[in-house]
Amino acid sequence: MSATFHPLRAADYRAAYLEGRTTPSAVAESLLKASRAAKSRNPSMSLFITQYGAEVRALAAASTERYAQGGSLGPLDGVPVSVKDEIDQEGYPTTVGTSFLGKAPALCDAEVVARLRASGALLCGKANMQEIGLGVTGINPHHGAARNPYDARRMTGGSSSGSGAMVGAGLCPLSIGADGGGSIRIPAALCGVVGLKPTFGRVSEHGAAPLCWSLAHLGPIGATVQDVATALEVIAGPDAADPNTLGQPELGKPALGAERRGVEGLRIGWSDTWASKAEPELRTLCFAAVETLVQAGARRVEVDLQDLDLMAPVQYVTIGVEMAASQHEWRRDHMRDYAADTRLLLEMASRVSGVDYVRAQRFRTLISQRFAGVFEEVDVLATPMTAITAPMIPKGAEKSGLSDDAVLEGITAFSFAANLTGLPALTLPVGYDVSGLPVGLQLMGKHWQEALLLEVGAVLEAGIKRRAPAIHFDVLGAALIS
Amino acid sequence: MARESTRRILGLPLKAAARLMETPGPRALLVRVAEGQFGIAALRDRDVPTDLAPYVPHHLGKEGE
Repeated sequence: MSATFHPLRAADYRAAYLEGRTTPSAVAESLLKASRAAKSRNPSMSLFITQYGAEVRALAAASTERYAQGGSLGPLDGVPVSVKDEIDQEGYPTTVGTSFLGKAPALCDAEVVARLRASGALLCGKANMQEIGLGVTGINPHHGAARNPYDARRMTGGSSSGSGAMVGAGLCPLSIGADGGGSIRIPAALCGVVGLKPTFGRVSEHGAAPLCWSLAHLGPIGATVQDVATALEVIAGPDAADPNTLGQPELGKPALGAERRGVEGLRIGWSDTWASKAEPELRTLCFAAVETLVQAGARRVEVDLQDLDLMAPVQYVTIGVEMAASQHEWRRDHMRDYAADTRLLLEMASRVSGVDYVRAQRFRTLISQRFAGVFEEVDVLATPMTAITAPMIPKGAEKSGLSDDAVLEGITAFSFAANLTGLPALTLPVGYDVSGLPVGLQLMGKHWQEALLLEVGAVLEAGIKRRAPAIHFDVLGAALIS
Repeated sequence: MARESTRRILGLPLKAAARLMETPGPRALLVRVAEGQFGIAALRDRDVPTDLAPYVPHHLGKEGE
């Protein structure tokens, strides 16, 4: 087997700038070249929906000037970061993955984009996504099926498909995704990178398409745990335009590197019953990862999670109704403009009654109580992130989308709980299956305890031998000044 | 059987199934199939404990432990 793969981190870009080994402008050229190469592959990687070279170059030039003047803005200055195409970025259309939205460019940045821009991030384009975020395959008939960098015949997962794939393929060390049912964590896991769905209310939703109000979270997908921690520090915090974010506690230091306190004494929850939903190979790799924490001083606690069977139907009712409501005005004129799989789900969801929705929210309270009980016994709950690794893209699915409940169940078996409860959840790669496809572990924590998840994730990450994807672009290496 | 019918509902390609959803008769049938597959029908039959109120994100504005 080849040597351990070390993905490029935001810190690598910054170090190269500070040491004068390259400039953000040189990186921008390298990135744009790699983007064109990814697009022109057969099949196309379909990573971006929109990327404006002039805009990327202008941001890079400003960053280059800051470094030249010794006044860089911090750890993300000049670092390529993409944004899922349901989040507004001034000057870019926001298509939300459809064929009919975003005919005019956004007039201002979403709050997360404004914070990234203020940090000097090299905003490098709008990432492909599942249409309106309603699905987890990453197949988009309008903008192309994003391709998994570990095997281009396979799905990226979704809905933040382009985000997961482009971080996995090395185009950028960070992308901002959105997660209403696993849409940050699933593509991160299937594409072999790290993804964080923060606590509900941690990151402002202002300027993101309102698709599923009670379940939606913005958060980072990154090459490493440290990248995700760095991005979270930039994008988290109160925003008057999003009342849910007000009153949140301090983030806490996502203490990585020298400040890491380790996992000594931590109680790591694990449910054999829940984990049994995963293919044996994934379950074994994830359990082994938990055991490495135990060897590092943590204690594994077997937890008894009741009413697991409620989660999927409660999630389907909740996200279906909220999505159908969000599209109500558009459906009248654009029903046939949605991809067939989106159309089917919207039609079905629009027939779910108000009574069904309220009952689902009552069951959601029960689910939250179950998890609150679990977190009285444990500090972190570990599960596989998905029950299967990246599935093949079936023939014909690129044109009409895919509606296959075996795939849906396999990909989402562990993702809904964190959306229904608002609990933070991190995924990171902990191994590879027999086909060489990445396997992600999920770490869930108590509300507001992202920093703890990042600490535990960093401990795990240090012991994992990453493997290079089949499709990878060395954007920084190609930009180094010889 | 259920899984196959989701992929090709009533034996029809996905696009045709999506079009059928636009007419009342087939739509009612397709919705019933889907509600069964997504567990929504089973959820209707389940008793909700009487003291359960609809979900509210109570953690908002509260300090973490």
